[in-house]
Amino acid sequence: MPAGNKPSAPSRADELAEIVLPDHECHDVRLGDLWGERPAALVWLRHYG
Amino acid sequence: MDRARSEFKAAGVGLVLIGQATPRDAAQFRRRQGIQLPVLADEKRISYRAAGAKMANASELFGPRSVSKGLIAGARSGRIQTRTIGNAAQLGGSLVVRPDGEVAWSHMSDNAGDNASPDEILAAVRAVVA
Repeated sequence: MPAGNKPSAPSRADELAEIVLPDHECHDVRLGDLWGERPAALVWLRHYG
Repeated sequence: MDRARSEFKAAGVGLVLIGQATPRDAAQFRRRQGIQLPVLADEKRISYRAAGAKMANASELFGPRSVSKGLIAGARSGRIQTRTIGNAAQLGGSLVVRPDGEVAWSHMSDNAGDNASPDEILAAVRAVVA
């Protein structure tokens, strides 16, 4: 997204669901598994600092 | 956010943090901040783009609204910002997702000080599970 535009969240998380990220212990986590059985809240940090 | 994890658990909702760096950075962040929540590492910011997170311009990073909100948040939490890891222009946000993949609630940041509070996210979560 170009700088300065309004943020726009998706209405569905299908694209997010297929993304696999490592956790802090280097274990891969498929995002879709986070909400497969119960709702999930995901918080994207601006940075770790 | 970490302080509210038990309330999310009680509500029957998973809660995860995602940051824009390596797993090692995520582990250090958890230790430094005393966080017990899982922290995922998205060094390439793929999930940020998929979530619609915004790249900020200079005024959205350093404008009076952003700076004042940052100072207030820092005073409330008792934590100060340390060295920035990752792209400083990358903003974050929050989503609540139902098991069917529908995004039930969202708050993607419009500037550096525009962050949903844990209470706001909890209220959204409780509405989803009600």
